Amino acid sequence: MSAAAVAQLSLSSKTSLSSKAIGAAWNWAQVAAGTAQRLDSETTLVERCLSGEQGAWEELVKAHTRRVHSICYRFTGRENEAQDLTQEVFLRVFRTLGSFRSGEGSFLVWLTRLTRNLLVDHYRRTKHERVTDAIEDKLAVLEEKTSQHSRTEGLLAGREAGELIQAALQKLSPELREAVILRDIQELEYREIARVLEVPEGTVKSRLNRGRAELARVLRRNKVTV
Amino acid sequence: MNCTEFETLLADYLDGTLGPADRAALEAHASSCNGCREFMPDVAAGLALLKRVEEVVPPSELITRIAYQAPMGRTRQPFERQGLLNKLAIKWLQPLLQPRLAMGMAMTILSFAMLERCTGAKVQQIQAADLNPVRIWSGMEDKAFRLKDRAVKYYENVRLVYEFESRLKNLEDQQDAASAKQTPQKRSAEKNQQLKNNNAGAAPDQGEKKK
Repeated sequence: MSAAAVAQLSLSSKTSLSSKAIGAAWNWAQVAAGTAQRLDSETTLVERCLSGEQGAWEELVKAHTRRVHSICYRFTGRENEAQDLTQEVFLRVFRTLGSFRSGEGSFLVWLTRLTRNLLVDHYRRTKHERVTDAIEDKLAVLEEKTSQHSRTEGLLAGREAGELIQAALQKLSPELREAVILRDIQELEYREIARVLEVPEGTVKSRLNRGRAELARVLRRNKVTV
Repeated sequence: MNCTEFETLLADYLDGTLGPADRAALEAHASSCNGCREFMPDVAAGLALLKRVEEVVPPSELITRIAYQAPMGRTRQPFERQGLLNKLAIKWLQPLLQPRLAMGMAMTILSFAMLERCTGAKVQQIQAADLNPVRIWSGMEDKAFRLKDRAVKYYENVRLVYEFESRLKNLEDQQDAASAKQTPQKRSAEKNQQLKNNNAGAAPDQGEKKK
Protein backbone atom coordinates (compact mmCIF):
# COMPACT_ATOMS: atom_id res chain seq x y z
CA MET A 1 0.00 0.00 0.00
CA SER A 2 1.39 3.36 -0.96
CA ALA A 3 1.96 6.11 1.54
CA ALA A 4 -0.65 8.29 -0.15
CA ALA A 5 -3.28 5.62 0.15
CA VAL A 6 -2.51 5.18 3.86
CA ALA A 7 -2.70 8.92 4.38
CA GLN A 8 -6.05 9.08 2.61
CA LEU A 9 -7.40 6.20 4.64
CA SER A 10 -6.31 7.75 7.89
CA LEU A 11 -7.78 11.07 6.82
CA SER A 12 -11.13 9.54 5.88
CA SER A 13 -11.27 7.64 9.15
CA LYS A 14 -10.42 10.85 10.95
CA THR A 15 -13.15 12.78 9.21
CA SER A 16 -15.71 10.10 9.92
CA LEU A 17 -14.61 10.05 13.55
CA SER A 18 -14.75 13.80 13.83
CA SER A 19 -18.15 13.95 12.13
CA LYS A 20 -19.39 11.35 14.61
CA ALA A 21 -17.98 13.38 17.45
CA ILE A 22 -19.63 16.53 16.14
CA GLY A 23 -22.92 14.69 15.79
CA ALA A 24 -22.69 13.39 19.34
CA ALA A 25 -21.73 16.82 20.62
CA TRP A 26 -24.65 18.36 18.72
CA ASN A 27 -27.05 15.81 20.17
CA TRP A 28 -25.70 16.40 23.63
CA ALA A 29 -25.96 20.14 23.20
CA GLN A 30 -29.55 19.80 22.07
CA VAL A 31 -30.42 17.60 25.04
CA ALA A 32 -28.62 19.98 27.37
CA ALA A 33 -30.42 22.95 25.84
CA GLY A 34 -33.75 21.18 26.21
CA THR A 35 -33.01 20.34 29.83
CA ALA A 36 -31.82 23.87 30.51
CA GLN A 37 -34.99 25.26 28.97
CA ARG A 38 -37.12 22.93 31.09
CA LEU A 39 -35.18 23.88 34.20
CA ASP A 40 -35.54 27.55 33.35
CA SER A 41 -39.29 27.38 32.84
CA GLU A 42 -39.70 25.35 36.04
CA THR A 43 -37.62 27.79 38.02
CA THR A 44 -39.58 30.72 36.63
CA LEU A 45 -42.84 29.02 37.49
CA VAL A 46 -41.66 28.44 41.05
CA GLU A 47 -40.55 32.05 41.29
CA ARG A 48 -43.93 33.20 40.02
CA CYS A 49 -45.58 31.05 42.67
CA LEU A 50 -43.36 32.51 45.35
CA SER A 51 -44.18 36.03 44.29
CA GLY A 52 -47.83 35.13 44.79
CA GLU A 53 -48.84 35.49 41.16
CA GLN A 54 -52.43 34.61 40.42
CA GLY A 55 -52.73 31.32 38.56
CA ALA A 56 -49.10 30.26 38.95
CA TRP A 57 -49.94 27.73 41.65
CA GLU A 58 -52.67 26.27 39.51
CA GLU A 59 -50.26 25.96 36.62
CA LEU A 60 -47.72 24.22 38.83
CA VAL A 61 -50.32 21.77 40.11
CA LYS A 62 -51.59 21.02 36.62
CA ALA A 63 -48.07 20.43 35.36
CA HIS A 64 -47.04 17.98 38.07
CA THR A 65 -50.11 16.23 39.50
CA ARG A 66 -49.99 13.41 36.98
CA ARG A 67 -46.40 12.55 37.82
CA VAL A 68 -46.85 12.71 41.59
CA HIS A 69 -50.08 10.73 41.45
CA SER A 70 -48.46 8.10 39.25
CA ILE A 71 -45.53 7.63 41.66
CA CYS A 72 -47.92 7.41 44.61
CA TYR A 73 -50.20 4.95 42.86
CA ARG A 74 -47.37 2.72 41.70
CA PHE A 75 -45.82 2.75 45.16
CA THR A 76 -48.96 2.11 47.23
CA GLY A 77 -51.03 0.20 44.71
CA ARG A 78 -54.23 1.83 45.95
CA GLU A 79 -56.03 4.60 44.14
CA ASN A 80 -57.60 6.29 47.17
CA GLU A 81 -54.31 6.24 49.08
CA ALA A 82 -52.54 7.61 46.03
CA GLN A 83 -54.98 10.50 45.81
CA ASP A 84 -54.66 11.33 49.48
CA LEU A 85 -50.89 11.19 49.28
CA THR A 86 -50.81 13.34 46.16
CA GLN A 87 -52.84 15.94 47.98
CA GLU A 88 -50.51 15.69 50.96
CA VAL A 89 -47.48 16.11 48.69
CA PHE A 90 -48.86 19.31 47.20
CA LEU A 91 -49.81 20.63 50.58
CA ARG A 92 -46.21 20.12 51.61
CA VAL A 93 -44.99 21.72 48.38
CA PHE A 94 -47.24 24.67 49.11
CA ARG A 95 -45.77 25.09 52.54
CA THR A 96 -42.11 24.50 51.73
CA LEU A 97 -41.75 25.91 48.24
CA GLY A 98 -39.74 28.73 49.76
CA SER A 99 -37.02 26.26 50.69
CA PHE A 100 -36.50 25.21 47.06
CA ARG A 101 -33.23 26.53 45.66
CA SER A 102 -32.87 26.38 41.93
CA GLY A 103 -29.10 26.09 42.30
CA GLU A 104 -29.39 22.75 44.07
CA GLY A 105 -31.03 20.93 41.21
CA SER A 106 -34.18 20.84 39.19
CA PHE A 107 -37.63 21.35 40.62
CA LEU A 108 -38.55 17.92 39.31
CA VAL A 109 -35.89 16.27 41.46
CA TRP A 110 -36.93 18.36 44.46
CA LEU A 111 -40.60 17.43 43.99
CA THR A 112 -39.81 13.76 43.42
CA ARG A 113 -37.64 13.65 46.52
CA LEU A 114 -40.42 15.22 48.55
CA THR A 115 -42.91 12.69 47.19
CA ARG A 116 -40.57 9.80 47.84
CA ASN A 117 -39.88 10.89 51.42
CA LEU A 118 -43.59 11.18 52.10
CA LEU A 119 -44.20 7.73 50.62
CA VAL A 120 -41.48 6.20 52.76
CA ASP A 121 -42.96 7.87 55.85
CA HIS A 122 -46.38 6.59 54.88
CA TYR A 123 -45.00 3.10 54.33
CA ARG A 124 -43.38 3.04 57.76
CA ARG A 125 -46.51 4.40 59.41
CA THR A 126 -48.87 1.90 57.83
CA LYS A 127 -46.58 -1.13 57.90
CA HIS A 128 -48.28 -2.56 60.97
CA GLU A 129 -51.75 -1.97 59.60
CA ARG A 130 -51.14 -4.20 56.61
CA VAL A 131 -51.82 -7.46 58.40
CA THR A 132 -53.53 -9.17 55.53
CA ASP A 133 -51.55 -9.62 52.39
CA ALA A 134 -53.84 -7.99 49.87
CA ILE A 135 -51.37 -8.52 47.08
CA GLU A 136 -51.40 -12.26 47.44
CA ASP A 137 -55.19 -12.16 47.32
CA LYS A 138 -55.15 -10.02 44.23
CA LEU A 139 -52.68 -12.29 42.54
CA ALA A 140 -54.79 -15.30 43.44
CA VAL A 141 -57.98 -13.68 42.17
CA LEU A 142 -56.37 -12.51 38.98
CA GLU A 143 -54.75 -15.85 38.47
CA GLU A 144 -58.05 -17.63 38.84
CA LYS A 145 -59.74 -15.17 36.55
CA THR A 146 -57.17 -15.53 33.85
CA SER A 147 -56.37 -19.20 34.17
CA GLN A 148 -59.26 -20.36 32.03
CA HIS A 149 -58.52 -18.48 28.85
CA SER A 150 -55.38 -16.42 28.91
CA ARG A 151 -52.99 -19.06 30.11
CA THR A 152 -53.51 -21.00 26.96
CA GLU A 153 -53.24 -17.93 24.82
CA GLY A 154 -49.93 -17.05 26.41
CA LEU A 155 -50.24 -13.31 26.88
CA LEU A 156 -52.65 -11.48 29.15
CA ALA A 157 -54.73 -8.55 28.04
CA GLY A 158 -53.16 -5.14 28.64
CA ARG A 159 -55.25 -4.05 31.60
CA GLU A 160 -54.99 -7.34 33.45
CA ALA A 161 -51.27 -7.49 32.79
CA GLY A 162 -50.97 -3.99 34.19
CA GLU A 163 -52.89 -5.00 37.30
CA LEU A 164 -50.72 -8.05 37.77
CA ILE A 165 -47.51 -6.11 37.39
CA GLN A 166 -48.87 -3.53 39.82
CA ALA A 167 -49.70 -6.28 42.31
CA ALA A 168 -46.27 -7.84 41.90
CA LEU A 169 -44.65 -4.44 42.40
CA GLN A 170 -46.11 -4.37 45.90
CA LYS A 171 -44.14 -7.48 46.75
CA LEU A 172 -40.82 -5.69 46.29
CA SER A 173 -39.07 -4.04 49.18
CA PRO A 174 -39.55 -0.26 49.17
CA GLU A 175 -35.93 0.38 48.13
CA LEU A 176 -36.21 -1.79 45.04
CA ARG A 177 -39.73 -0.62 44.31
CA GLU A 178 -38.85 3.07 44.29
CA ALA A 179 -35.84 2.52 42.05
CA VAL A 180 -37.91 0.57 39.54
CA ILE A 181 -40.75 3.11 39.58
CA LEU A 182 -38.49 6.11 39.12
CA ARG A 183 -36.48 4.59 36.29
CA ASP A 184 -38.76 2.28 34.36
CA ILE A 185 -42.10 4.01 34.86
CA GLN A 186 -41.16 7.64 35.45
CA GLU A 187 -38.13 7.39 33.16
CA LEU A 188 -35.84 9.63 35.18
CA GLU A 189 -32.10 9.76 34.54
CA TYR A 190 -29.84 7.73 36.85
CA ARG A 191 -28.28 10.99 37.94
CA GLU A 192 -31.67 12.39 38.91
CA ILE A 193 -32.70 9.20 40.73
CA ALA A 194 -29.42 9.28 42.65
CA ARG A 195 -30.27 12.82 43.81
CA VAL A 196 -33.82 11.88 44.70
CA LEU A 197 -32.80 8.86 46.74
CA GLU A 198 -29.57 10.47 47.96
CA VAL A 199 -27.46 7.41 47.11
CA PRO A 200 -24.66 6.91 44.55
CA GLU A 201 -25.58 6.15 40.95
CA GLY A 202 -24.04 2.68 41.21
CA THR A 203 -26.42 1.84 44.04
CA VAL A 204 -29.35 3.07 41.98
CA LYS A 205 -28.40 0.79 39.10
CA SER A 206 -27.86 -2.24 41.28
CA ARG A 207 -31.18 -1.72 43.11
CA LEU A 208 -32.91 -1.20 39.82
CA ASN A 209 -31.63 -4.48 38.39
CA ARG A 210 -32.48 -6.39 41.53
CA GLY A 211 -35.93 -4.87 41.48
CA ARG A 212 -36.55 -5.86 37.87
CA ALA A 213 -35.32 -9.40 38.48
CA GLU A 214 -37.40 -9.71 41.63
CA LEU A 215 -40.50 -8.56 39.78
CA ALA A 216 -40.04 -11.22 37.11
CA ARG A 217 -39.46 -13.85 39.79
CA VAL A 218 -42.54 -12.87 41.78
CA LEU A 219 -44.72 -13.37 38.75
CA ARG A 220 -42.99 -16.61 37.86
CA ARG A 221 -43.36 -17.86 41.43
CA ASN A 222 -47.10 -17.22 41.16
CA LYS A 223 -47.08 -19.10 37.87
CA VAL A 224 -48.42 -16.12 36.00
CA THR A 225 -47.51 -15.70 32.37
CA VAL A 226 -47.75 -12.08 31.51
CA MET B 1 -15.17 -7.88 36.69
CA ASN B 2 -16.89 -8.99 39.87
CA CYS B 3 -20.60 -9.59 40.47
CA THR B 4 -21.22 -6.15 42.00
CA GLU B 5 -19.74 -4.41 38.97
CA PHE B 6 -21.77 -6.69 36.76
CA GLU B 7 -24.95 -5.74 38.57
CA THR B 8 -24.19 -2.06 38.07
CA LEU B 9 -23.16 -2.27 34.44
CA LEU B 10 -26.10 -4.46 33.50
CA ALA B 11 -28.39 -1.40 33.65
CA ASP B 12 -26.31 0.40 31.01
CA TYR B 13 -26.03 -2.82 29.02
CA LEU B 14 -29.81 -3.13 28.82
CA ASP B 15 -30.09 0.57 27.98
CA GLY B 16 -27.68 -0.03 25.12
CA THR B 17 -25.32 2.66 26.28
CA LEU B 18 -22.41 0.42 27.25
CA GLY B 19 -19.13 0.76 25.34
CA PRO B 20 -17.86 -2.26 23.36
CA ALA B 21 -15.04 -3.03 25.81
CA ASP B 22 -17.37 -3.03 28.82
CA ARG B 23 -19.93 -5.05 26.92
CA ALA B 24 -17.38 -7.73 26.13
CA ALA B 25 -16.24 -7.80 29.74
CA LEU B 26 -19.84 -8.10 30.94
CA GLU B 27 -20.62 -10.92 28.56
CA ALA B 28 -17.43 -12.68 29.56
CA HIS B 29 -18.43 -12.44 33.24
CA ALA B 30 -21.92 -13.72 32.48
CA SER B 31 -20.51 -16.77 30.76
CA SER B 32 -18.23 -17.56 33.67
CA CYS B 33 -20.58 -16.82 36.63
CA ASN B 34 -23.67 -18.98 37.08
CA GLY B 35 -25.48 -16.60 39.38
CA CYS B 36 -25.05 -13.64 37.05
CA ARG B 37 -25.98 -15.71 34.02
CA GLU B 38 -29.32 -16.55 35.63
CA PHE B 39 -29.75 -13.02 36.88
CA MET B 40 -29.49 -11.44 33.45
CA PRO B 41 -32.64 -12.87 31.78
CA ASP B 42 -34.66 -12.16 34.91
CA VAL B 43 -33.66 -8.51 34.79
CA ALA B 44 -34.45 -8.34 31.09
CA ALA B 45 -37.83 -9.99 31.65
CA GLY B 46 -38.62 -7.57 34.49
CA LEU B 47 -37.67 -4.62 32.31
CA ALA B 48 -39.87 -5.90 29.48
CA LEU B 49 -42.77 -6.24 31.92
CA LEU B 50 -42.33 -2.74 33.26
CA LYS B 51 -42.27 -1.31 29.75
CA ARG B 52 -45.81 -2.63 29.32
CA VAL B 53 -47.14 -0.69 32.27
CA GLU B 54 -49.60 1.92 31.09
CA GLU B 55 -49.66 5.45 32.36
CA VAL B 56 -52.16 6.16 35.11
CA VAL B 57 -54.25 9.28 34.77
CA PRO B 58 -55.41 11.02 37.92
CA PRO B 59 -59.08 12.07 38.00
CA SER B 60 -59.48 15.68 36.94
CA GLU B 61 -61.28 16.55 40.16
CA LEU B 62 -58.09 15.67 42.03
CA ILE B 63 -56.24 18.40 40.16
CA THR B 64 -59.04 20.85 40.86
CA ARG B 65 -59.12 19.88 44.50
CA ILE B 66 -55.40 20.39 44.89
CA ALA B 67 -55.24 23.58 42.88
CA TYR B 68 -58.10 25.33 44.65
CA GLN B 69 -58.46 23.74 48.04
CA ALA B 70 -54.92 23.07 49.22
CA PRO B 71 -54.12 26.78 49.49
CA MET B 72 -57.34 27.32 51.45
CA GLY B 73 -56.38 24.59 53.88
CA ARG B 74 -53.97 24.81 56.74
CA THR B 75 -51.84 27.70 55.56
CA ARG B 76 -53.37 31.05 54.88
CA GLN B 77 -50.45 33.03 53.54
CA PRO B 78 -48.86 31.18 50.65
CA PHE B 79 -45.11 30.79 50.58
CA GLU B 80 -44.57 33.38 53.26
CA ARG B 81 -41.46 32.87 55.28
CA GLN B 82 -42.60 33.52 58.82
CA GLY B 83 -40.56 35.01 61.59
CA LEU B 84 -40.03 33.03 64.80
CA LEU B 85 -42.44 35.18 66.80
CA ASN B 86 -45.08 34.94 64.11
CA LYS B 87 -44.64 31.18 63.97
CA LEU B 88 -44.96 30.87 67.75
CA ALA B 89 -48.04 33.07 67.80
CA ILE B 90 -49.66 30.97 65.09
CA LYS B 91 -48.71 27.78 66.86
CA TRP B 92 -50.38 28.91 70.09
CA LEU B 93 -53.23 30.93 68.69
CA GLN B 94 -54.36 28.67 65.91
CA PRO B 95 -55.88 26.01 68.19
CA LEU B 96 -57.68 28.72 70.12
CA LEU B 97 -59.15 30.26 67.00
CA GLN B 98 -60.67 27.03 65.77
CA PRO B 99 -64.47 27.07 65.37
CA ARG B 100 -64.50 23.70 67.11
CA LEU B 101 -63.13 25.26 70.27
CA ALA B 102 -65.68 28.08 70.19
CA MET B 103 -68.47 25.54 69.77
CA GLY B 104 -67.09 23.52 72.67
CA MET B 105 -66.99 26.58 74.91
CA ALA B 106 -70.56 27.48 74.00
CA MET B 107 -71.75 23.96 74.76
CA THR B 108 -69.96 23.97 78.12
CA ILE B 109 -71.56 27.25 79.14
CA LEU B 110 -74.95 26.04 77.98
CA SER B 111 -74.65 22.79 79.90
CA PHE B 112 -73.63 24.65 83.08
CA ALA B 113 -76.57 26.99 82.63
CA MET B 114 -78.90 24.02 82.23
CA LEU B 115 -77.37 22.37 85.28
CA GLU B 116 -78.14 25.46 87.30
CA ARG B 117 -81.66 25.68 85.99
CA CYS B 118 -82.54 22.05 86.41
CA THR B 119 -80.86 21.14 89.67
CA GLY B 120 -80.99 24.51 91.35
CA ALA B 121 -77.31 24.32 92.21
CA LYS B 122 -75.55 27.64 91.90
CA VAL B 123 -72.63 27.26 89.55
CA GLN B 124 -70.79 30.09 91.23
CA GLN B 125 -70.85 28.37 94.60
CA ILE B 126 -70.82 24.84 93.34
CA GLN B 127 -69.26 22.32 95.71
CA ALA B 128 -68.28 18.73 95.53
CA ALA B 129 -71.46 17.81 97.41
CA ASP B 130 -73.55 19.44 94.70
CA LEU B 131 -72.28 16.96 92.19
CA ASN B 132 -73.54 14.06 94.28
CA PRO B 133 -75.97 12.18 92.03
CA VAL B 134 -78.47 11.81 94.86
CA ARG B 135 -78.46 15.49 95.38
CA ILE B 136 -78.70 16.27 91.71
CA TRP B 137 -81.57 13.79 91.44
CA SER B 138 -83.44 15.20 94.40
CA GLY B 139 -82.90 18.69 93.05
CA MET B 140 -84.32 17.66 89.72
CA GLU B 141 -87.20 15.85 91.43
CA ASP B 142 -87.94 18.94 93.45
CA LYS B 143 -87.92 21.01 90.30
CA ALA B 144 -90.14 18.54 88.55
CA PHE B 145 -92.66 18.50 91.40
CA ARG B 146 -92.72 22.23 91.50
CA LEU B 147 -93.26 22.36 87.83
CA LYS B 148 -96.07 19.84 88.13
CA ASP B 149 -97.67 21.78 90.99
CA ARG B 150 -97.47 24.90 89.00
CA ALA B 151 -99.04 23.25 86.04
CA VAL B 152 -101.84 21.81 88.16
CA LYS B 153 -102.46 25.16 89.78
CA TYR B 154 -102.59 26.84 86.46
CA TYR B 155 -104.98 24.23 85.18
CA GLU B 156 -107.18 24.63 88.23
CA ASN B 157 -107.15 28.36 87.78
CA VAL B 158 -108.04 27.98 84.18
CA ARG B 159 -110.88 25.61 85.11
CA LEU B 160 -112.25 28.04 87.67
CA VAL B 161 -112.17 30.87 85.21
CA TYR B 162 -113.80 28.71 82.60
CA GLU B 163 -116.50 27.62 85.02
CA PHE B 164 -117.20 31.20 85.93
CA GLU B 165 -117.33 32.15 82.33
CA SER B 166 -119.62 29.32 81.39
CA ARG B 167 -121.97 30.11 84.28
CA LEU B 168 -122.00 33.73 83.37
CA LYS B 169 -122.81 32.75 79.85
CA ASN B 170 -125.58 30.49 81.06
CA LEU B 171 -126.97 33.31 83.06
CA GLU B 172 -126.81 35.63 80.14
CA ASP B 173 -128.48 33.04 77.94
CA GLN B 174 -131.22 32.61 80.47
CA GLN B 175 -131.71 36.32 80.65
CA ASP B 176 -131.82 36.55 76.93
CA ALA B 177 -134.36 33.77 76.75
CA ALA B 178 -136.47 35.48 79.40
CA SER B 179 -136.39 38.80 77.62
CA ALA B 180 -137.27 37.09 74.34
CA LYS B 181 -140.38 35.61 76.01
CA GLN B 182 -141.25 38.97 77.50
CA THR B 183 -141.03 40.90 74.31
CA PRO B 184 -143.93 39.24 72.42
CA GLN B 185 -146.13 39.62 75.53
CA LYS B 186 -145.18 43.24 75.69
CA ARG B 187 -145.96 43.72 72.04
CA SER B 188 -149.41 42.16 72.29
CA ALA B 189 -150.09 44.25 75.35
CA GLU B 190 -149.12 47.36 73.45
CA LYS B 191 -151.37 46.31 70.57
CA ASN B 192 -154.29 45.78 72.86
CA GLN B 193 -153.66 49.14 74.37
CA GLN B 194 -153.65 50.76 70.97
CA LEU B 195 -156.81 48.96 69.95
CA LYS B 196 -158.48 50.04 73.17
CA ASN B 197 -157.38 53.58 72.50
CA ASN B 198 -158.71 53.40 68.96
CA ASN B 199 -161.96 52.00 70.13
CA ALA B 200 -162.16 54.70 72.70
CA GLY B 201 -161.53 57.32 69.97
CA ALA B 202 -164.13 55.79 67.64
CA ALA B 203 -166.74 55.48 70.26
CA PRO B 204 -167.13 59.22 70.83
CA ASP B 205 -167.40 59.62 67.02
CA GLN B 206 -170.10 57.07 66.92
CA GLY B 207 -171.66 58.74 69.86
CA GLU B 208 -171.50 62.06 68.08
CA LYS B 209 -172.96 60.54 64.96
CA LYS B 210 -175.70 58.99 67.02
CA LYS B 211 -176.35 62.34 68.47
